[in-house]
Amino acid sequence: MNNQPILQIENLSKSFDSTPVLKNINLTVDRNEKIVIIGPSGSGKSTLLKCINLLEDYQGGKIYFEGDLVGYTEDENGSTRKRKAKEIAEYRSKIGMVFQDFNLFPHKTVLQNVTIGPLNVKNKSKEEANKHARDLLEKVGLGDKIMEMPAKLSGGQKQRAAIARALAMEPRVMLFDEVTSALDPELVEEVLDVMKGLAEEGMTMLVVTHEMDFAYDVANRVIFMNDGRIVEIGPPAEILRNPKSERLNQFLVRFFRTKLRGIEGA
Amino acid sequence: MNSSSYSMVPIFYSLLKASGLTLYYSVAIVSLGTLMGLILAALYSTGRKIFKAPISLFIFLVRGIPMIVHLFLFFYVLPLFGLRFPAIYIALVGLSIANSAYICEIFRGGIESVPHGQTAAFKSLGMSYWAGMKEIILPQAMRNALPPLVNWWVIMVKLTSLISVLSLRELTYAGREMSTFTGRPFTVLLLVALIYFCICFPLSRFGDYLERRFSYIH
Repeated sequence: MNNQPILQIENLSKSFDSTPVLKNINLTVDRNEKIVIIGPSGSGKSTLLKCINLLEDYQGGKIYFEGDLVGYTEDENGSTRKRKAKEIAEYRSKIGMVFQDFNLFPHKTVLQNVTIGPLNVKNKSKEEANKHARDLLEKVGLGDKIMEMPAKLSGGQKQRAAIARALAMEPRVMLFDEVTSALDPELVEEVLDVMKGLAEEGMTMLVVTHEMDFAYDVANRVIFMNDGRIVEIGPPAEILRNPKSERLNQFLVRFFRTKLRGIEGA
Repeated sequence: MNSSSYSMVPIFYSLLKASGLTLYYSVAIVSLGTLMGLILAALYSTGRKIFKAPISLFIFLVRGIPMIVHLFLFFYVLPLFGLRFPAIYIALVGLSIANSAYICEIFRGGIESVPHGQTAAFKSLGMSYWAGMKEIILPQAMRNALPPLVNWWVIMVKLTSLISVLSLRELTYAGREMSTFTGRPFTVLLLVALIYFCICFPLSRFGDYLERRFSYIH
């Protein structure tokens, strides 16, 4: 494998109507790197992930995946045009995404949820797709749930199924968008454990989360975003223990104070 | 009145014969209208202006015109442009087109009621718009659209009575003819009503069956 970064984001900016939500984001993600993105709500964390997966359009900047410009093409005059739907779909198939509210397909069984991508996009045979899906579901601890409908699963099980669904495409990068935020507190751990397992296997991961312990244990780098900008970026110990900016300090103090209050209240 | 000497059997037989045409139109218009409505809704949901604008216009036009006027327009206006078709086709095409507009709206509502996250999920797997539509969105949209869709199917069966204005001898036409002819409108129209009910009731039951089939919380 070469040392080329897997993702390069240059001067990314995006606005909804006239409200800017991402301002000049620059980020390079190396192979096998685990990046955790923290920040207050509305800071643009989720939008950044959606832009990387081209689920959101962006107005400025470039994203390179393994050295190739994705999403848009550029002609010799420097003007950009959106790529064809087929090319975008092809790129997306290499990027796995897990969502806050699971988004499992409710009319399909757990197994069908996991096999639909490989069957539809990779044209895998049914036997092959089923076997791979069973292995993945076994791995996330849902070996006994493969024939269930999603409505029968708990939140933690749904999210683990959603992770298996994304993994079935054998993605090069996994994006996690606040995947534990919609879960009951006691179900958070089972999902984080699956993610930790993935991290240990060397998956490249971008994780938007409020789980500071996870950030501390797993991340190579932590990004603090505020108001559409990357305010601080660095190793977790540095970011979480010695914040340089007033804004991050304030965020962490508030965050842990709220958490502490929760513990006292319990 | 000598007409009272008519026995029930030939009246019933005559009405049954006419209901064959009603049944034929019901099946044809329900299937054609549903298929066309589904295609229109899928095209509309691409969000592309090139589809959205003409489909919106079409729906506004159809909704703004009574269906009977719609049929007359097809029947009397097309020949002015040298397009002459037998009434039987005009009725079929006219009603199917008119119904497709209403059914498009039903499907569109169904499609829009599928949470946006479902689209994000299939896109993130690399599935194309049409694959996602077929595998993910439409099956769920169908489930949401079924109650109003079946409701509209039943309405459509009864709307086939409109083609009597083009002198096509379906159930309503035969009923009016027979009640004048026999002088026993009450009996005849009661039979007509009964036959319509016998067509619509199984359709409603079929709708209940479909709703159970499409429910995915087993």
